[in-house]
Amino acid sequence: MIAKTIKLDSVRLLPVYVVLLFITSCTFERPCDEQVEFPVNTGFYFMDDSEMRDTVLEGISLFGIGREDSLLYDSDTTAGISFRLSPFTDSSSMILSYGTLYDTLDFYYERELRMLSPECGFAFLFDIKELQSTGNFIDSVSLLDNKLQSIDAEHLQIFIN
Amino acid sequence: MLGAQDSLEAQTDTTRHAAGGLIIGMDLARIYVTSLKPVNLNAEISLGYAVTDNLRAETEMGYLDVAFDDPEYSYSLEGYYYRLGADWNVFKREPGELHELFFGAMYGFTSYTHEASAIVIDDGYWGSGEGSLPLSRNMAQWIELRGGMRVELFKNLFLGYTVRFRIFVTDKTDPLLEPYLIPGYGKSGKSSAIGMSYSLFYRIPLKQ
Repeated sequence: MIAKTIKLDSVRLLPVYVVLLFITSCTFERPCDEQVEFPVNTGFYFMDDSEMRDTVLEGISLFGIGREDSLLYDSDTTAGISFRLSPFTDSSSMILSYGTLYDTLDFYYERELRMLSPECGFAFLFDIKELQSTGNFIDSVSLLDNKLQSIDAEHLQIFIN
Repeated sequence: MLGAQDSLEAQTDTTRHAAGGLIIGMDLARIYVTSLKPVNLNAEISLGYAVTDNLRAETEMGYLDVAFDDPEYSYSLEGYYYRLGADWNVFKREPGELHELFFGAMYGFTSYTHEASAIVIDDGYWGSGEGSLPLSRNMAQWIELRGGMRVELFKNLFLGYTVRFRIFVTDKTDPLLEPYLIPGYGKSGKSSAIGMSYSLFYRIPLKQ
């Protein structure tokens, strides 16, 4: 009879032990380890006897039309630049200067707001539909990835005259 | 004291059998979950029927309501979830005892809606602005392997816990917005999850 009482009491207490374990359990948050920005990675090139060669330019700067007070990019010497499109409008126009020469880049795109992850928050993703450029020192442009998906890849090639 | 006597009588009533009992339950752990921000309400009830002394068919239904306002965005989620399955008792009972040590499997399903608003996007160059993701309806399904125990505290009144190992099967979710929680399953984006319930049950003996 005593043994039976001990057995029943132990059995009855087991759920209490388990709830204590449940209440004291904890969760671990993951850090944000995803791409959170989607810049246009751009390289400069020129054509040499129908062969494409990369090139380094001196005195390159870039600013957005409507944001003339601030530069998107400013560098003495570079083989490529990286810049962001406006997430608040469906087009972005920028002035690219090279020495004393200026050209305009007009991007037309669709935007999609999405949660990257609970840890990384939200971002606008882009799908570039059209790109136009003037031709003062730019010969042509070639868009390689209109969705700007990989931060390590080159998305745009600008061919210099 | 009276309860103890009832319990003692229940234990000494050797004519009792589990089979034929209708068991209504409420998950007390959901009260604890409801106390955690940003959960507004999480409630779960169950209904079981002891087909035989060791086999119990079980259905569970729950509700989850989550909402929060962060400086970066506001979020709300609301949905019901359901589970259907069976448990098998492996506890060797003395005559008249109705305690259970069980293992079982369930199919889980949820249908829920969620939305995000006042999403603040801050761009260092182009300035800042707000966006929103409209209400979307989603669903998810999973399989649950579970085990636990139920102890008869007083006559026909049981307390028990269930440990649940959930295996995600499929979903139809909003690709733009990851749910804060999948109702009845747990954190989204995981192929498996562990859950626990701690429930109070009342048994209605339909036949003896």
